[in-house]
Amino acid sequence: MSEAHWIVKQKIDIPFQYTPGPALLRFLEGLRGAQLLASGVPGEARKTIPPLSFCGRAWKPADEWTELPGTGVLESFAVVPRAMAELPEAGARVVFGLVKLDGAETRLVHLVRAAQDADLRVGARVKVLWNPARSAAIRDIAGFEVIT
Amino acid sequence: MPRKVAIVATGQTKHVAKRTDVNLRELITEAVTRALDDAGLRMQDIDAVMLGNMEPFEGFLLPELWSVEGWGGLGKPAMKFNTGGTVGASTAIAAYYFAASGMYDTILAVGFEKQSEGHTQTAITTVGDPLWERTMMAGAIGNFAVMASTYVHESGVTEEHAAKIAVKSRRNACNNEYAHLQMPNLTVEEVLASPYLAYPVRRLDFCPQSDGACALVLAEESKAKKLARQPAWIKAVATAHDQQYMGDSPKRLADMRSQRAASQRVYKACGISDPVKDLDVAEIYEVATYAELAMYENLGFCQPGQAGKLIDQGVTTMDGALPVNPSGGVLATNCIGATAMIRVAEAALQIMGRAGKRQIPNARLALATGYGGNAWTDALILARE
Repeated sequence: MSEAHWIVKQKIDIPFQYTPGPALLRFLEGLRGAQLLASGVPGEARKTIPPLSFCGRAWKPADEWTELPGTGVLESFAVVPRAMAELPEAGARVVFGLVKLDGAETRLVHLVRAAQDADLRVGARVKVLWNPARSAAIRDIAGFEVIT
Repeated sequence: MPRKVAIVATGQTKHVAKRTDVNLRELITEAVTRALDDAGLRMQDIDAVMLGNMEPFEGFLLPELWSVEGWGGLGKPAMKFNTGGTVGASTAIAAYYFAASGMYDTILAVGFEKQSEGHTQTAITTVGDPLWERTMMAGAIGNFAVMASTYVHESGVTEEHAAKIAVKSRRNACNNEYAHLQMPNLTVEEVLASPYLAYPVRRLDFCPQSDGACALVLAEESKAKKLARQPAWIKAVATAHDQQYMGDSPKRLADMRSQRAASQRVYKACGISDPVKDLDVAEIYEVATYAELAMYENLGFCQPGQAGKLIDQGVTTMDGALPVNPSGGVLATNCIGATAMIRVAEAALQIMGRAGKRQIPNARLALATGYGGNAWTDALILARE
């Protein structure tokens, strides 16, 4: 009976463009210069990366800027056991991680590298790896490498 | 018995075609902080937030999640609405329900749209029936043109009548610091010289696409009296729905069933028998000039076929018996998720006596509507008492 069930296939393309706004623009320009910039409300401990221009918790402008040292903690990770066409630089398998950078309250999701699988663990110390060619985009960061 | 509820504060962004200086979250924050400042409140004074947006007009889904820090939703009771063109009014009505029920005392309602980042006509096309309409004609312009030609035939309105509506809107908009299209010198001749988008609708017969946000603060009676010298009391609200398939409502603009139903309900609740005489001002959701003319009939401002006479006689201009859209309306500004809330905000400003250069003297009773392609209509009556 299944051949009696017609399926009409359509495809919808949704054009999309995006304005980062002043805070994210400063963050992206920072990446081009191999800088990790976080922002926060002056006098408040909370620093976010990527930065917010306005803190929804304090309900105040978050216009105090800090450059982070580029080290942090791997808070979680996933290992995809195959290559992904979108991320050729990752190689034959892809490791994603959530990295809490020292000095920031929020986390960045990015590629993670480790010399050996045993080094991949929650709580591992990591440091940023920069791409030599940078264009003010998140992949100016090549990934985060587990420090052993 | 529902509690008495009023709008006590409003906030809007300056609406423009493209806000490339801020991101979506920052755009929303502008309107929200203006509304809070207007009420003299801090975010911690707000009990709940109602959010309205027409996705995926920004090109992605669930924009409220990504933008939550910008609209004050962190940790608060919040709900998001998407009812198409009506959404801004539906969101205001939802806030009213929550306050009137006794659930929350002080509620923030927010509507927004950053249309420049997605593709509005693509999104609207997905609303059409996938088999019969999407592949033929499902965007806003063609849809309106088909409706307008029926309405022209039924009502006898002319291109000149439509052009007068276009001029009224863009000139009124010059008195509104938030309006997008401000054209102080626009003439009927210029409208008639603008090219057809789809006959009979010309370029200047149609609304622009805008980026913008709007916010309202609503409060129950005792708080409202403390927060505003003159609150805009919500006297009646109504929503009415119809089906979307255009083959089942061939007259559409000429026979706007949901708009007739919603307006009759709020008129009845407020004892309004002659809207032109009883109302002091109306802020209606008119996406095209022909829609405004048809709405004059469907909202009971005139008898069927008399809409052209109404604009000829200046009944709906700033100094007429019932000024319609002193703000410039949707023909001047259309940031979809905010648009119907702007109608409510503008009606509230009129009642509060705070509409600046676009103020109608001594406005005591105002109508605001939201409209979604004939398939649904929202209506609210705001009053000084």
